[in-house]
Amino acid sequence: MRTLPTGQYIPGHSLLHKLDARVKILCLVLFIAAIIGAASIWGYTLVLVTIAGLILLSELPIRSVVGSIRRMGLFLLVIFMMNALFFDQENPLASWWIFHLSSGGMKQGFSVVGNVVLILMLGNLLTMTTSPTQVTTALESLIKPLALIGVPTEEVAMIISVAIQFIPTLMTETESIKRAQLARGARFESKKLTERAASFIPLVVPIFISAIRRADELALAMEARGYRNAKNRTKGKKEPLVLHDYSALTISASICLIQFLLLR
Amino acid sequence: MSITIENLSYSYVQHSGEKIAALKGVSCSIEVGDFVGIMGPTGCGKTTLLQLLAGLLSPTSGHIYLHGDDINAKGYDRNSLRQTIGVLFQYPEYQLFATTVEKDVAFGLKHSGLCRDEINANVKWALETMGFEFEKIRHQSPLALSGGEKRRVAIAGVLATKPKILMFDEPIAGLDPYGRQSFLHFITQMNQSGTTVIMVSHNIEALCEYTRHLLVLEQGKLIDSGATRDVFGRRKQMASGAFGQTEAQKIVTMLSEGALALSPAIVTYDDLLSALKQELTRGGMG
Amino acid sequence: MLDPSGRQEVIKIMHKLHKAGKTIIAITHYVEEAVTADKIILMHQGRVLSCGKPQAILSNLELMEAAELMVPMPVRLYYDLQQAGVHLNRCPLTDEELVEEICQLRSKT
Repeated sequence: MRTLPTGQYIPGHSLLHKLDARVKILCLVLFIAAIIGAASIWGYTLVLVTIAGLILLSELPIRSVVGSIRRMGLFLLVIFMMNALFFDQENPLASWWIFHLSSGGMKQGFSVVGNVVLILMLGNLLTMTTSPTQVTTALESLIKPLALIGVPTEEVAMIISVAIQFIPTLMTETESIKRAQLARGARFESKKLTERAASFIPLVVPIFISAIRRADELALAMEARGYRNAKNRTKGKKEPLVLHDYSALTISASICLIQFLLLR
Repeated sequence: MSITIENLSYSYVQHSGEKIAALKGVSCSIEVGDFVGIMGPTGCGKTTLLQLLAGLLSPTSGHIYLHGDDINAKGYDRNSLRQTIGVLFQYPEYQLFATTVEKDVAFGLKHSGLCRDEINANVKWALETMGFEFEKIRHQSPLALSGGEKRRVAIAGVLATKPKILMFDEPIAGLDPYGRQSFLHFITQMNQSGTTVIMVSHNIEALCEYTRHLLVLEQGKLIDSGATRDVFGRRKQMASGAFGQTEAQKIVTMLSEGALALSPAIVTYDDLLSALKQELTRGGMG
Repeated sequence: MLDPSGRQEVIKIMHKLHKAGKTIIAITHYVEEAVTADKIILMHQGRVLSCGKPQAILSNLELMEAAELMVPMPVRLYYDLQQAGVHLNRCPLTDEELVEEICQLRSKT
């Protein structure tokens, strides 16, 4: 039984919760651009301050927003090491075989890891203040313009929506398969990395098969219920954008712009 | 390998913040070689109890002793626990993952400490016990088999470690009548050769016909335990809506309303049949 | 998959819909569920073995065996009693019918 899986929607009444989902997604994209574009200490400070402000606005406990970052610890360490050891072959601080530790590399490593952490936190803020239905409706509406160049937007939106809806089901299934394989002697929590990696397959293969099986069953059920091209489906309510939506968009766009100005 | 449970409790916190007590102070013991059923309405804690017994969950409080040793004590050999206890969950065919049947069945033996030859021998034995021809099945992909074959391969995977205790969670769910019968017959055979069997099931008739002892759970508490016949007898004495009456018992209740009183000790089909034969052939009827 | 009470709920809904005029086609290997049908189509390995009323199909031992299905308990009891020399009036399919038949027989003396 797990406690709070991070990133999961927590209903609330904060300002962030009230923002239109499309606006939030667009702001997320703008922020990601701003983070990647941050080239100086001022740039980073601006972004950090904004994120801190957003966390406050969301009225969510900081622990939950930051929670998943901890679990990514190993992954982040690997990213850091890859940068620190392979970045600069010319002026190494220390060398051994193909590994060249450099100060440039370490700086780059910090920067990349920092970006990833910030983006993750923003992603968490989005998913925690927006219900899955809101996210999918927003995505559907945002990718509509792509229909002009022939992208089947309704189908793409449906795919995303179904995928998101299946997450809880597949999570439960993962728990149950994990339990069964544990009972057979799989070592998921082993200290040895090789054992943990080997335990990956007995978990991932059954889940994949399960996901495909469910997709098959769902497709059959949808066809039986007359699904064709969703041309006549009833759409969700569309609420017009409100003042705080426009201000959020404006602020995000300005932060993004500032970063690029700072780049010069 | 007898099992003793002492004041076992398990609770967890859901992500809504709510605390759920799945098991409350359960105490009982299971003898070596017994065939025990665990029965109760949905949500009573049966699956949780099974997982605790198999060492897949750590209790919030209380102890589980396997042959006198506390399985949750520090330093207890978890690996040997995995080899001694074989657990089969619902729809075991969904756990198959390896490239060949042989590899999938051998998965549980990876940490057994047995040598290559012994592992191969165990795998062969397990597959043959499940009715397969070893040479034909060993190199096939487990995912390409039929539903029934998949299930049998999954069971072979659990048998491969030659566990002394077998635990099943709703093993006959989804099986057609003959499938159910052959599975129950199979685990009876395993039990007869000395394996302790613990079976969680919704199927009252299966529990009645095959188990020797029963544990009855309701809302996390152990409300009754004992010899199968006795437990069913007591269930019948409770309010008529009580969970866990066999079809034979239901018929006896209905007959008593129709003014034919049969013995309340009737539990199984055979009991009912002999009682009816006696009643209805008296005086040369029929 | 559903537990017994879950199954009962779904069956109740099926009956409700049927009463409301819908045609119901249900696939099952649970013989007890088929008892209440108006008509049963018995299949085995891709072929239809028989088609007819529950009374005719579910009480036919050879047919049920050929379909690899088990007869309902009242049917089993009917035949086992017959072998012991006790003859019920008709072959009951449900527990209620069984009790009825036994009481009828009893009252004959």
